[in-house]
Amino acid sequence: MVIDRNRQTTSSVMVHVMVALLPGLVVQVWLGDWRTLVVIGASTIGALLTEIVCTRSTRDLSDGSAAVTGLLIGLCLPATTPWFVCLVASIIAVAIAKHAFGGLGNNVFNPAMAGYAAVLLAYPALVVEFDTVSGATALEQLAHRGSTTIDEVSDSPAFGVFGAAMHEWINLAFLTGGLYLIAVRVISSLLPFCVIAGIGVTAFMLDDGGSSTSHGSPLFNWFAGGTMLAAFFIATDPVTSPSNRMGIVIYALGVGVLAMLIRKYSSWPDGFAFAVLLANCFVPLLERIGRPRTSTA
Amino acid sequence: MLERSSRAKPEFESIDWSELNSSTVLARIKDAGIIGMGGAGYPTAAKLASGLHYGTRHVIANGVECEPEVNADRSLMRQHLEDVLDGLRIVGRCLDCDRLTLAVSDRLTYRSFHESDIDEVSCEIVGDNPANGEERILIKTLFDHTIPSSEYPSQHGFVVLNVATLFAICEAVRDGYRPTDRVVTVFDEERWVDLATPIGNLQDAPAPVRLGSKATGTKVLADSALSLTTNAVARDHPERTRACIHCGWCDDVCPRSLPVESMLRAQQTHSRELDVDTHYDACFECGACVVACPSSIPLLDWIRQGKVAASTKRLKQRANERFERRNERVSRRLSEESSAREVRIQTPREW
Ligand code: SF4
Ligand code: SF4
Repeated sequence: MVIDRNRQTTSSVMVHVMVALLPGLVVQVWLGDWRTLVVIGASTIGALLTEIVCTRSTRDLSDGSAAVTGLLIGLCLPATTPWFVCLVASIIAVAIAKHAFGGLGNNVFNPAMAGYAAVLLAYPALVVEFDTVSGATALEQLAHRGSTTIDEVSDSPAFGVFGAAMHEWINLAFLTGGLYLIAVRVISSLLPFCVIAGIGVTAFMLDDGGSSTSHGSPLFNWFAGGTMLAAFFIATDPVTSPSNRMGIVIYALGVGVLAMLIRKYSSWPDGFAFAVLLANCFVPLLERIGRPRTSTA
Repeated sequence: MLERSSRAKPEFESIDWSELNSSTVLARIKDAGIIGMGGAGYPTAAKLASGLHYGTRHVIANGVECEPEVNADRSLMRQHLEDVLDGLRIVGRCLDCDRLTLAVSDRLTYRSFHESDIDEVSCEIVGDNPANGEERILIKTLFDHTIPSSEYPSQHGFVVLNVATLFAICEAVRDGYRPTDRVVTVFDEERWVDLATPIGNLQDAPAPVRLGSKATGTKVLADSALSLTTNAVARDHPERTRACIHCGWCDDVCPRSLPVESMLRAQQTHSRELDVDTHYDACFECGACVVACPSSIPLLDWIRQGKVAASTKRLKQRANERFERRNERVSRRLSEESSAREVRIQTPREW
């Protein structure tokens, strides 16, 4: 029984989330491209402005949920994304995914992922990550590699020490931020670790030791793409995830497994956006599992 | 030290310790109009009479004040611990019970109890969680004894009295005073307040307030008066309420494991799909969910509304059932009468 939870409000929760996102953001800018900052700035400003337009007041900005949505979109989009694409993503996220569904608390789909997925489908060519150092990222090379085996691909500079080059450190930073959120009890540890377990188990079962269709070890998949960001910051959105224990486990495992399947069997390099949105569809159903609980008294 | 305004002459004769017996004490408590000052307002004389009837093994002074941001009982114990304990001894003498326990949740009182030389009474410290103040849960924590919700603790040999009640008992029996004031947490500050003070007089500008803690109090008008059971007056929700974000924290903290979020949703949406009616009565209004909610939703207001709605629904249902049974009875009688008439008509008369 967790009784003495620190007194927290929606705004203080959002402040914790922003603090927890910082290390990942710093690493991403440091190792990657300064243009990340432009992308993040454009999406955050877009989200805040859309929030003002939708609520016709600045009153709700203080709860920080719009800012976090914008921030998450900015962190998902590659640094080369043009600024107007960032704006489109954040407008879709806040106006359509959130306010058209009735505002904070009533939305079915995770706003950040809805916005991101929308531009992913609308501007596929502009939202592909292509950095000047290594060409395509590791996950993209795996997705479009033809018949080369995993060992051949992993010789390329896109692969790092244990994960994908650069992304392994970004993921490590997000993991740290996520553990901070658990420590200050903003999120529970159950959901993120079930996502990670879902990825791990699926990657392990699909890993046949290095043929041309294999998709790398669990360790590689944990530290590639947006795994940690999605597990700790995106899937944990309280509004769009179940609130009962059983529902959380099924939802989180589902996100992990789906993301891994999309990574391997589709032409999209990373599958978290679609995995989260698909899992969101099942949340109303999952909410019924644990409810109403019987009283113990 | 809190200031207490001076009082008129005692209304009753003081009762001497040596001639303390059950009937004089009970009569005095009844005459002084003492009721449970922890909030429930159960007539204390009736509780003690039931304790006498069933036989009492433990008398517990309940100083576990667990409503958020209420410190009335704590400061009373700091100022008048000896009188509270005298009240406990008086009740012990009255119920012929020598196992007297003071249960507290704050370390300061616990320590000062053990530093002073106190006989007859033992002191226990329990965790400062919102559930421990409820008497059944307190008994469970202290003595690992479960009392079903359909029975009273006195039926199991336990009498639990709030420390403010004990203080009032002590003053009524030993000094002959009727309780006319009590310690109240008024906007985060403890003071002695004369009862029947209009709440409007406690604040500079009239604003909506809650009688009770911020989390568990009920909203009242500024002209309402205080009563013996009021342990706090709080400002009504200074924070802005936001939409429920379905985080489930309210469910997590509820000591009764109630589906609080579903109860809120059932009230807000009038949804028939959620079958939560049976849960409302299990809520003992501890306020833990209100404190936990990050959106500052006054969950207890909604739950209280639900309690009323659920009991109205039950009454309606019962009335409906009665009405249907009556209709059935009437139609049966009518059909019996008509068939009897048929028989009479059919039977040839014998002249
Ligand atoms: S629902 Fe009732 S019992 Fe449960 S935490 Fe809220 S006030 Fe306490
Ligand atoms: S704690 Fe508040 S916001 Fe969270 S589910 Fe309960 S009512 Fe909703």
